[in-house]
Amino acid sequence: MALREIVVDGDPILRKISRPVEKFDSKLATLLDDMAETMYLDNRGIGIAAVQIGILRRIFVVDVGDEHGKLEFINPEIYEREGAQLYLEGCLSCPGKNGYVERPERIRVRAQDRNGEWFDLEAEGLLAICICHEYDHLDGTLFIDKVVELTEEQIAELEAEEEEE
Amino acid sequence: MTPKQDLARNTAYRCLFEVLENQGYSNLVLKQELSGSSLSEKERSFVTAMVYGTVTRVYTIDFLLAPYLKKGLESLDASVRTCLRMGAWQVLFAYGVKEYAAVSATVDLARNVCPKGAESMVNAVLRKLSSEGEDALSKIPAKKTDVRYSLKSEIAGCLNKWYGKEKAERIMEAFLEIPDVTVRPNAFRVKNNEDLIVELKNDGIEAIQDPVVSEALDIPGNRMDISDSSAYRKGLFSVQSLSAMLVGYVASPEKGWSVLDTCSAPGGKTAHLAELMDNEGHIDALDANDIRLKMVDETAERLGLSIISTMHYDCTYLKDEKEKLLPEYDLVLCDVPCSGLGLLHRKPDIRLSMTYEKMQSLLQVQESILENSCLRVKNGGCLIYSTCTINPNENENRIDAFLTAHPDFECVPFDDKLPKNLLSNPRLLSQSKEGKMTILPDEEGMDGFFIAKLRRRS
Repeated sequence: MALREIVVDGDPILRKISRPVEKFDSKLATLLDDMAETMYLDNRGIGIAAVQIGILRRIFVVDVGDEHGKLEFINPEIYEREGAQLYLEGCLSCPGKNGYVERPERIRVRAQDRNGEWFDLEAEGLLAICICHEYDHLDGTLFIDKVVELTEEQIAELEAEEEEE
Repeated sequence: MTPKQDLARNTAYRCLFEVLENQGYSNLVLKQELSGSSLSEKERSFVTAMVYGTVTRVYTIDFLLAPYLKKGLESLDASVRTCLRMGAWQVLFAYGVKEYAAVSATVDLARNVCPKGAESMVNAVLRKLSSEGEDALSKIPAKKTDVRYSLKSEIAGCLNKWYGKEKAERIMEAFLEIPDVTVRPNAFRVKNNEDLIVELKNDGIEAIQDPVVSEALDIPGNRMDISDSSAYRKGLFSVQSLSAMLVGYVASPEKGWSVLDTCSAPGGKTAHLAELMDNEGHIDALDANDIRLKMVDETAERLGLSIISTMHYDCTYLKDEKEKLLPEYDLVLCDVPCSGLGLLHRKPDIRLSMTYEKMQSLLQVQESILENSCLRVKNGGCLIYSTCTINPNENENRIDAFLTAHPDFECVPFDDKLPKNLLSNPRLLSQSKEGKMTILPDEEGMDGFFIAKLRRRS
């Protein structure tokens, strides 16, 4: 396993469309392991897409700290979106930036694992947000493109809701 | 994607790191971090309180952390040191922050900003500190006033020497109070304070009449953003402490006077003089720092004052150029660079930066400015000397030495120029009658300050 360097906003590669994965080999396994190691470094990330370490392939890894643990998605497709939620997002490729983004409350996603096996997953809450965030990377979209401006009252309301939880 | 960040604490951390580790200025660093950030009003005031609070209490905090750190605070990585200090402030001094929240939020922060593994140490130390709670503070020995009131020991020692232990302790205690922001309406534009109160209310800022200085308004709630208001941009007021306002009143310049302000930046007192002159006459505003001198131009422009002309000039030197600078002035103001010990509650950085040695070196600067500037006062003209410190050597002793060396100058009483409410303090009454007066922070709740009014005999 090895740490990879994270590409930051401004690098044109982040704006390119990633290509599907065709070979499910040991090289892919190493890439997935390196992505996870890079994401876990200093607990800085809960999700990472391959393009963020300069590899234009439709791959991402997420671990939002829930019962699912680490999840790997290869050639994913989000085929159902439901509801809406706002969350203050940040990105390893946009250091120092945060902003509220609207995402679906619940999604269904289909993807392949590292062996090429297809699986189906229903996700909600933070996991849904994180999957959508990483999914966007595969098509060259960053969260900063989608940030919504909120009023002070709206932000205070969101914070109050979170405190209740 | 990154986990949700505690933006407020992250911001406070970056500010504190700059101030405590890189000699940054709290007010400038805060301004830079908060401008354009997405923090809410509430979060902004929390960040401000956390930064000013931690810097203010840092010597107390370091003393209380020490027993839990085997190798001492100095041996730690700077990021860990900063996390521990801001965590300790939240545990011991913050109002409305629950202790467990303070600890867990600081541990989360440490996980993000410190070298791997440091968060467990931060966790252990802050937990021990919070289990002691209020008792931690009562463990400070009574005679250690430097630790109790969070001062460098040499500064606490000076205050004890100058004022005696009992008075010094009251002064140190007063410096832990959070001061109100006060504003001075632009007399040239605002004829009635009520109008400005209404104007500020439209900007969402509450202002009330100050009980001591009738021209001034108090802004409750430690609002740092007052200079973002439209009333400020329209030049309707200046942000100025009550003590600093006294310079204008004591000087009481008349329309048409010729005035020299030797150390004018950022221009608050310069502008006050121009306003009192109803923008008629002339003010030469000098400063040794040309970057800060630009602030004087901006202040004058914002306030619509056209009689102020700025010039980059260091009054500690007497150069040949003095010829063209030496028309005789009706009034010369020497608001000299000083140790700032009257502002410990307003500018907590001074606690970190001021030393006995620096104070000593300032004496020479002050003497040079006074010596060079007194030459420019015309016969019968007035010289005002002021500082924002309570060090007698920079203040009354400086003036006494000056008067001995310059028999052509004398002190002028100014009790008739002061707000009446100040004169109920017998010490201020008698000092103002002598023409030199020190404001102490424990008495009127105003900034520590010194002002002397001299006249050149005609």
